[in-house]
Amino acid sequence: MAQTTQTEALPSHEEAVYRRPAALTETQMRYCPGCTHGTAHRLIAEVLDELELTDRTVAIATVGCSVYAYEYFNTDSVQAAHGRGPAVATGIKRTSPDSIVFTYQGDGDLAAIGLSEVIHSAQRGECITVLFLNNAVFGMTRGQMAPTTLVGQRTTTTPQGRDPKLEGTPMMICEMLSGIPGVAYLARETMIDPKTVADARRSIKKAFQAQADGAGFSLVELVSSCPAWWHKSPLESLHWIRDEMLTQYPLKVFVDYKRQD
Amino acid sequence: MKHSYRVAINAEHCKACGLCIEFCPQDVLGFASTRNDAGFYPAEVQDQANCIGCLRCAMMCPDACIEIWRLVSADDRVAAAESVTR
Repeated sequence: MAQTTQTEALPSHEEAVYRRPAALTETQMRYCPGCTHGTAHRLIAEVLDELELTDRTVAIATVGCSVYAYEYFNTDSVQAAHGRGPAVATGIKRTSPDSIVFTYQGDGDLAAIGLSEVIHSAQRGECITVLFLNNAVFGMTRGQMAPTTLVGQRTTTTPQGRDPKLEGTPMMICEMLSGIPGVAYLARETMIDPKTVADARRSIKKAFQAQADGAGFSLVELVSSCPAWWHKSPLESLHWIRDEMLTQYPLKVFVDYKRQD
Repeated sequence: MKHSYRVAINAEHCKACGLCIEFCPQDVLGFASTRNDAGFYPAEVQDQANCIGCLRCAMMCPDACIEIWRLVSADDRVAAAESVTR
């Protein structure tokens, strides 16, 4: 790292306690200040490093704020068309079964235009990992209503708040997928304080482990913030997740292939 | 043995979201008084001696710009070697 602060004369020796993961490039991420996309990227990179999968991983960047994910991960990458991440991942995984393939999709990408792709991938039990960032709006296109928008939440296309009679109710992706036999790991996590960040990291690790073990389809939903289009500060956004979003989207491990129920 | 730590913040990548400052239990961090090239007042280390190496700032940083180092003095290494041989 180039620019570091150094306040005192160094003693004879230093040990790294925490370093930027090697699976992240040095490129500065283009996300808004306080957006938890960056936290999710960092956790994925940490897990790839820890499991020593970085060299054989293919990242699928999809459309949305995370469209530049291929610049941030130190892995091979493919940019898929809007919503088609799991379909592209299926092709890559089937043609090179030794690679570790993951898609990184937002809620507009996965829950709106790409809903059929993710459901069919789960139904086929494809050995891929899907990281699903749920921030309840279309962030890239200036905050329109997404399928995951909360009832009553104001967005640019629901200025009076989402009305369930007009626009329906929030889409619960994990609940939809939880009954499918091909799913090996399915969890909903968030990243609002150090504890939940650690929990999210554990779930991401298990999802990649499920793929490495060939157990089947794995998906981790990360309830994320969008400070820009929620019109809140980064910290207020985290509090809004805790107070509002987690009542709609409770944190839970839905399916764990290693757990015997 | 009480360790001391050095927090290194990549000031050019910091976007001043302030999450590291909010979650630091020891008030080690604060905002700088000068802007970086992107126009943000980045987080900076203001009270290094108070750091307990809990990594909460690094865990919350969305831009992965925090690195944490443990300082190991020559005395510490002698003590560690002695404890192994003992």
